[in-house]
Amino acid sequence: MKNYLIVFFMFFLGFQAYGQQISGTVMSNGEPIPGVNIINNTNGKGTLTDFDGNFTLDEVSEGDEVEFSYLGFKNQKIVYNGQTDISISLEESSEKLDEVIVTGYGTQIAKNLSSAIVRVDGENVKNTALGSFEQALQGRAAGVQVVTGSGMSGAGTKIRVRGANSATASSEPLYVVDGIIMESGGYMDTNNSVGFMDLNTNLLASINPNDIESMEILKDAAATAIYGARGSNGVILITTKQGQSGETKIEASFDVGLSEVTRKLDFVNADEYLTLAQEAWYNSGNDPTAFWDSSNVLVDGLTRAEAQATDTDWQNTALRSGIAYRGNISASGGSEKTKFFISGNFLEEESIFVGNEYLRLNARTNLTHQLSDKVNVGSNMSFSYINNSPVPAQNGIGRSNNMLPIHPVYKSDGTYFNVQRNPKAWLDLFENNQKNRTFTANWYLRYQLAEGLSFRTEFGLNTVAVNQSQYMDARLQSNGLAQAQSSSSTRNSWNWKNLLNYRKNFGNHNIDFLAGIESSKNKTIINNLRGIGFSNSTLKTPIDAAELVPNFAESAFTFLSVLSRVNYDYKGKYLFSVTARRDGSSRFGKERRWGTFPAASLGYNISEESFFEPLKGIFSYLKLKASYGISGNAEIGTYANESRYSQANYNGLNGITLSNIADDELGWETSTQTNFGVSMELMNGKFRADIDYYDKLTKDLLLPYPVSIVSGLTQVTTNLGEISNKGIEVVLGATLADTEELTWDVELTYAHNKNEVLDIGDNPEGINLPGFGTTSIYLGMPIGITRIPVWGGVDPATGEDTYIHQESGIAYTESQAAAEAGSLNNFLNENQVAYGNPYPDFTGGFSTNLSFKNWTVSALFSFAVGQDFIASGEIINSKYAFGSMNLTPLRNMLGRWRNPGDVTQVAQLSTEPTIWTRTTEYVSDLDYLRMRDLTVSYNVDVPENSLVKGLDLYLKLTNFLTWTNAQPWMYDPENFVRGGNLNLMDKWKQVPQAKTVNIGVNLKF
Amino acid sequence: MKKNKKFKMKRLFIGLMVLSLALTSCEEFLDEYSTIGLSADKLTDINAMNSLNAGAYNDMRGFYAYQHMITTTLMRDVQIRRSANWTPFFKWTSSGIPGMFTSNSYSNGYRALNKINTVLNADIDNMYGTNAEKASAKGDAYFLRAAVYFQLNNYYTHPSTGKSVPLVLTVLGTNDRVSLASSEEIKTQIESDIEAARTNLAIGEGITTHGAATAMAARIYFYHGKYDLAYERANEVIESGGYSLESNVADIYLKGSGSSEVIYSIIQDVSEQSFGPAQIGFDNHQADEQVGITSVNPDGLIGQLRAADPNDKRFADLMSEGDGHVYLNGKWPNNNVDYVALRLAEMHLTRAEANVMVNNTVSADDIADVNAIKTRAGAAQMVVGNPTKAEMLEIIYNERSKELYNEWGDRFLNTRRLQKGIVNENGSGMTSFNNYSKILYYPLPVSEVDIHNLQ
Repeated sequence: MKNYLIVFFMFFLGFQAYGQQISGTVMSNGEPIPGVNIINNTNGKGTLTDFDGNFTLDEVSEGDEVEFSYLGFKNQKIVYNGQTDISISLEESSEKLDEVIVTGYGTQIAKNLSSAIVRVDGENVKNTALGSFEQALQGRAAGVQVVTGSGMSGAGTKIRVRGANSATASSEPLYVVDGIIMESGGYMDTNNSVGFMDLNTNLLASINPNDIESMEILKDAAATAIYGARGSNGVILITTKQGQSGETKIEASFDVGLSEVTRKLDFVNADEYLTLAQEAWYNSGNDPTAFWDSSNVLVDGLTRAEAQATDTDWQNTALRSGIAYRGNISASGGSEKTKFFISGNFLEEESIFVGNEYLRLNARTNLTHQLSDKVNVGSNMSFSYINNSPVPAQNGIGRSNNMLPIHPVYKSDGTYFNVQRNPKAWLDLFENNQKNRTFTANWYLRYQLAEGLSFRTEFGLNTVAVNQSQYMDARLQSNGLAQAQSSSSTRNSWNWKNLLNYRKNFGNHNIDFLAGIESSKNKTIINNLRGIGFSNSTLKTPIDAAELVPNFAESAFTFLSVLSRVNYDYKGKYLFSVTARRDGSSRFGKERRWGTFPAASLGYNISEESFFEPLKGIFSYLKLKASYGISGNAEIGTYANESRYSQANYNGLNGITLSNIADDELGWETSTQTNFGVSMELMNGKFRADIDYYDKLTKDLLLPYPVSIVSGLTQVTTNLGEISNKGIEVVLGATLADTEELTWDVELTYAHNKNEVLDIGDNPEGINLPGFGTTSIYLGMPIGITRIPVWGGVDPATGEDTYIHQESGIAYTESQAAAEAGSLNNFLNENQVAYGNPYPDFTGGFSTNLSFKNWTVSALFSFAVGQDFIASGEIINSKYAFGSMNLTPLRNMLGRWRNPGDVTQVAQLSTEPTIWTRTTEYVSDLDYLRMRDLTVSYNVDVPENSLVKGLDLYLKLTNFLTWTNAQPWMYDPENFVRGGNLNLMDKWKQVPQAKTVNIGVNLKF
Repeated sequence: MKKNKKFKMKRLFIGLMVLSLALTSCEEFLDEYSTIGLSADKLTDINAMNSLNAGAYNDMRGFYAYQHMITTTLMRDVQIRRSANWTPFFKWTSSGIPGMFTSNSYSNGYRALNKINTVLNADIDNMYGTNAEKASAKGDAYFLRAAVYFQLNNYYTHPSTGKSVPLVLTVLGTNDRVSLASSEEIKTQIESDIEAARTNLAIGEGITTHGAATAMAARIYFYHGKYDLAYERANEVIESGGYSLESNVADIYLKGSGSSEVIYSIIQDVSEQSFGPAQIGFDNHQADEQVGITSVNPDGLIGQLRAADPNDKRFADLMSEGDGHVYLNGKWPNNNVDYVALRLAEMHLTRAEANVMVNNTVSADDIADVNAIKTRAGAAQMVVGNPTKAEMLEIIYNERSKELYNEWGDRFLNTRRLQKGIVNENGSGMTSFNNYSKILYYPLPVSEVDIHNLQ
């Protein structure tokens, strides 16, 4: 570069300028780059390279400065000195600011971005031991809350980008893989009548993490408006790897991992149980000598002697050490015109849950080919096969406190003890399997219409096919009839995009214009057959059953969209972007079929100003940005706007019942979001900071609304109400060392979000819908809270639990409460308050990457603080363990009240029947700091000419360390509640998380 | 050559643009409606009317599910075995009755009425079909509307104001508001509906029959105090010869709708709906404390009648003892039996009592009616001699109590009709009708009161 400058000055002095035509080629690593911007900075004229990297530029005078720029590459300037053939080689940029950011239907470089988009490099998910790639986003992307389903293979993930902005509609972000919208969630969404919850297999796990080049999370409305009615939950764009021309590169990796549950619950052992149970028996006024005969602990023929000789740890029947094998191989390369990336991946896993086995196979082909100097074609295709046998938590781990430590697994004759409650029996006698096939592909053609103007047509396809089978042995059923179920479902979706793109530099004015139309259709078909009653236990296919119950479901929805975006910048200093999308969908009511979603953003690269020069020594880069826009949430369900009747047969006659009342006005939920941000780099990029503030208001919430049964229904959903999410996101990064031998980067992400319901129509006191776990929506509270009585601690005088009488604020003991309200249940019903926060106040992560010589250490710590939860199944079963239900309590019950004056958190034990009402006593904090990932790798020096060109050995720890204040009845502070945003505070049974240790090898050929 | 190729490319491009524009402008692409199940605009033929009626019958499973349980506990015929979770029902105050029980029949009732009213407001006369088919669809709907309002009116009528439930005869939207009708208005509607059901079902039989409508009419008139009409209808049912008493009482419940004695029943089919009276009835009377919650109260009327004649088959064959408790398991032999909602035995007792009330004297026919029931049950004592009217009414009261206990709520209604007392909470002595009658009704669901401002 310096040499050029010297030459430049010499010729500048020596020659007069004459307009001439120059031509040449722009290459990178020996490969031509099409579309490179070439500007004569002296007279403002410019051009672009063609598909072969060739260019011609008119009216160049000697001494003119010509600049070559291309996304993701360092700019290069030359001075024309009469060369006839100019050959330029551009270098790829490693600067964060020059990173290419995928923005949806296009790209932009980070420096010119005025919206809130965060990029996570694919390197961060490579070889991840987590179940699916999106789980690796935890702690890495500020403002993206990630909750891992569980340690079960194929468990789902819950992601909230900038908070939960819906009540009943999905709040999951939109996932777009290479331009194709992916279904997130589970493979199966039918309510299986044999089936149980927690049986799903995560659809996103069909994407091979090692194929991922980058993930971009679109957060503000300026970024998401391009996805219109489907953008308001945030958008996660996944871009897969593409081939590079040149020598074919082959990479392979293999690893093996061992896993354990992150935390076991601390249940009492047999001795402790008997101490507590006998105390409870005595406290309730029973004859102590009658304990064994009358307390009902001896069931299913168990004798006292057998019980006293037994000490079963029931958790161990459902949990084990898991093991997983992973392998990945990819080949990439190509010629000048054709490039390819081909990969294959397998994962075989036995998770920490007894009975859970998982096999995943992925294959991908990404191809591009240059047909002519104007026409490019390409395709990205991926197939995945998943064979999963998830175990319902309620069958195994969830039943482990439904037995007593004094109960044996088997009776002396070898049959299951208390078979219908025995977790071992449920694990052995309940079979469940899902085979899932996913095919995702797109094919595109790009045609260069004129200089800077291109047309792209792209057809995308996404097919998901699932076969599920279940069998429940007759011994598990109270009616003695075995049940089997077999279902097959397919989801097909296609989309077709036609896009026009115009990119042009007019001197210092840079314009990138996009216009397009898109149509898509999605169709789901489910066939299900259930069989009840088999003549023989070897028959497990529904068709062999005495009674058959078939089921069939079919649904489809369409979208039609027009979209447009203009990005403009002046000298890379003033940035302006405006987006608009118009979406129509069959999901919307007839009177509200089309919605328009506009957004605009402004950016100011203040450090480009000349007056900023004096500060550049410290602030090497400073950008201010602001955006405002509207996007929508169309996950309101299919056919929700139609008046519908569902099947309600009577005695074999076709019967119907009203199931939905038509709403022609039913539409999307609308989010309006304002974003202010600042990005800076200090000391030439040594320190970096990004700070964003946002204010997101979602209105037209799809809310469940109680209506009178005289209409035929008790509840409808309608667009009503408002939720606000406001927050701040901070990313601080530093490169502490950057030398040949040592590089060291650190990054901290922090996000605070406040969720608040602002409007629920004319329901001033809040909406309460009856059901198991009251659905409560209250003004001024976060969505998803619950309504429960407030526990006042244990009365030291009597050992009774106390509850707060809301009118007076006084704590009533149980007996006082019963006297006051007629019964304790009445008192608890009358004294409930809206309570809790199901969302963390702040989340984030700390990551570091240290490389020294051949060693690399990277670590990621994630944290979340401020979330509350009621693990009702575990705590209620513990607290009321000594009634007639035969449940095992946790060891914290050993600290129970015994004598007047005892100050304790656990009331006097008794055998009184269970109070099922959830109270604040059961609420647990869920603050945690977790070592999400620690990877140590060593790059082995390989001889120059050996077959293997690179060899890395690595050790990877996932979820290995956790610090938390969660209560003893919580398996893990990272707690997943399935479904939408209602009733988030409470789940009957938890599914634990896993921690893993992996060792592996990366090979390059 | 190259130019030619370019030209082709351009043509291809233009073609694609036009095609995609054509698709975009095609609003019809967004007309994607459900292909499964009916929507309101498809309810245009007799088949759709019959499907609505069948759907309403399906609702009857939930509608009747708890009625036997609530009414017998209100009469203190049963005791509750688990205390804290299951507050004895007679302690319920209007705010304390668990909504799931009372609002269950209210919501199932109105859910059925939504469909029934859809049928009765449809232009059936102009639909394609025979007169018999049209009459059959109408007959079923009229019958159910009478049956539903009869139950609702019986349970929800406020003892002091006489206000009952809203009388809804049309299809209402979510924004429509209603107010409470008087019990008398509803009674008038019920009687008009049941007669319309009889007329139509005589022309074309539906899911239910003309005989069932006539028997239901007898029950309705009996409880509406129109004894002459009650006698006439009950007499018509008995004289029709279409029904006969089972010789073995337990068979009535085992056979369900297949029994020769059963006139109107709700058929149980787990593949269609597992929730219903059989499930609740069966579970409630299980000895297993984790499932069952009730057993016969030895101090209540049924307990006393049982003690007086334990060999009566209605006790001996239908009840069992264990752990000091008496369980009624013969009427709910399993959780998959049909619900017997109206049977011939009731017609005999109704005819007898209605006749006594009309004539103010006891005839041999009346005695024969009662003895037919007693004989079949193997009762220790028959009605002999010439009982006075008062004696006969007392005999019939006890007989109805024994015969129809824990079925459709007859004990509750009959106790109220005759203003009888019930046993005290502590088991000794009686509480007079005046002292407890104020609890003899179901509170309206709180949400309905809120929405419509019902008062």
